[in-house]
Amino acid sequence: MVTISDLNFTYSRRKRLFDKLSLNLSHGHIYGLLGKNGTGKSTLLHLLSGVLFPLKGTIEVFGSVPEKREVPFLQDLFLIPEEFSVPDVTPTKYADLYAQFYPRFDENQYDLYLREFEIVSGDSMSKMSMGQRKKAFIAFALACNTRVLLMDEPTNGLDIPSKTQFRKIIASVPTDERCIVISTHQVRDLENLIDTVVILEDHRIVFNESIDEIAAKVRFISYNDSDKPGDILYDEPGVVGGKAIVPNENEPPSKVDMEILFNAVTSTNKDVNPVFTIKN
Amino acid sequence: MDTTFNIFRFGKLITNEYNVNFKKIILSLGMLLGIAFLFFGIAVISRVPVYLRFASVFFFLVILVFQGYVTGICFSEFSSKPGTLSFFLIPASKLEKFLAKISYCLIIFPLIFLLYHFLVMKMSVAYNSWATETFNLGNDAFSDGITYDTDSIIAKFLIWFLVATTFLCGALFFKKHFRAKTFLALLSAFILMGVLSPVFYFFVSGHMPSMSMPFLMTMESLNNGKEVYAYLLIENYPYCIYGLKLFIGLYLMLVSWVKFNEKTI
Repeated sequence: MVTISDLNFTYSRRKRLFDKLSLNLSHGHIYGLLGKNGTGKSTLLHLLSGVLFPLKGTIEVFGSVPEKREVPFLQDLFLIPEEFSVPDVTPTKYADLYAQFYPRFDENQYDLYLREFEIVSGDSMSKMSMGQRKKAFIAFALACNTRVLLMDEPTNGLDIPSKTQFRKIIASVPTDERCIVISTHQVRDLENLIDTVVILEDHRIVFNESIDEIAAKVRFISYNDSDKPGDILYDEPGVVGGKAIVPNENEPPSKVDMEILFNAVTSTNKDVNPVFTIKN
Repeated sequence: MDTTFNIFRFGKLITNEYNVNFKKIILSLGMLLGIAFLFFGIAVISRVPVYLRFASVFFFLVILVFQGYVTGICFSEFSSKPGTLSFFLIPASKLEKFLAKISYCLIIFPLIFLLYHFLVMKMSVAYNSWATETFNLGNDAFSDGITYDTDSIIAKFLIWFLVATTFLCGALFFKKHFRAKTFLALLSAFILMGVLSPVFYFFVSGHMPSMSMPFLMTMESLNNGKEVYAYLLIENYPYCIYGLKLFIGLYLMLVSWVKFNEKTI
């Protein structure tokens, strides 16, 4: 569905952002795009949506080249940017203005999502709080039913109940025909939501594994100093004991701790285990 | 499905443009009416007639400012990254978006402005007739001198067209404070043309004028030491001037279209 090959991109000559980055994303998945600040998560989403152009390499989204910004491509892709502008209109009016551009927009779904997010559809979007505005925009994006949905830091600005609502709604969205990419540095917000982890580091994709694959290969454990295991792949010591990643040797899968996984992959010691090899 | 131009999508973009900018559009039209009201109000209070040539130039300049303002409204998205991003992600073709944007600043508003100018001039003439009787001014000498023929309409329309295309270019090329930057660019171009037009006049006529205004007039020193205004092009070759303005306007539009196609956030 989405194919990125040997992508090079830079904002300035001195600092390259992507160097021969390659990535394949397919439908039926919710990808969590993780990375440190400044690694280019937002830029990658902007490149995928055609508002930035690659310096070298190719990007294809269901056969279309994003930078051409062709109508069928735009009808099937929705980007929720971290910061977005909305006109001084109510959510209902907003749908009147823009829903007709999306052939699969579902008004009932939109009303449902607005209710779930507890948005008053009579209030002007530009006068809403940032969190309210974001929820209204997310509701519209989901109701457009585009095949590719890109979200850049969607939980930024949401309060704790709203984050819960967000996770609940995303989890309820049918994904069979869809590819959802959620970029964030708040990895805990994505727990129990994403099914594949993609990590951006050192100008390329350094990790691309499904949650099931990760759980099959490694286990995430908490230990006390007295019972510290000997086969630790990655360790985060605490005051008493700590958290660690150990190989999974035919044991029941543990819950994937995204924060530890992310720290392990982006730590200086990247060769801890073959599980953290590049997979495009 | 037509991916290059679809009349439904284009119509939707046009109506959206109006819906989104409704308040600003109404405000700018209201301000234009307010200026006219103030203008005639001062004339009534002062019990003086309206000098038609002054009124024509005054309202023409008011419209020039508003032309820049409404072009700014139409392209306000491009002054911010989120605005640019939202605009480019609307599922419509580049051509539809570009035409929807320029329809307001290059066609709809200039037509409204033309109508406005025509009406205030008609009102000025009507006011003078009324004021001559009411204030016992004694003559109607201020009623003549202004014609609203095809040439003057084309001339006005082309100048607003030029201003609009310049601001259109500015909105696409400058990321922040594009109105101020475009105004400075326009002023620089005006000064440059002022400097170059005597040189141009020298090549055309063989005489070096001592002063010039761009494409309007030059002051030429004659052999007897007297200075006379020599209307360089506007008097003798009006259609050459129209063509030049149209060419520059269309050129700026073409440049804007190219930039529009490759614009990123």
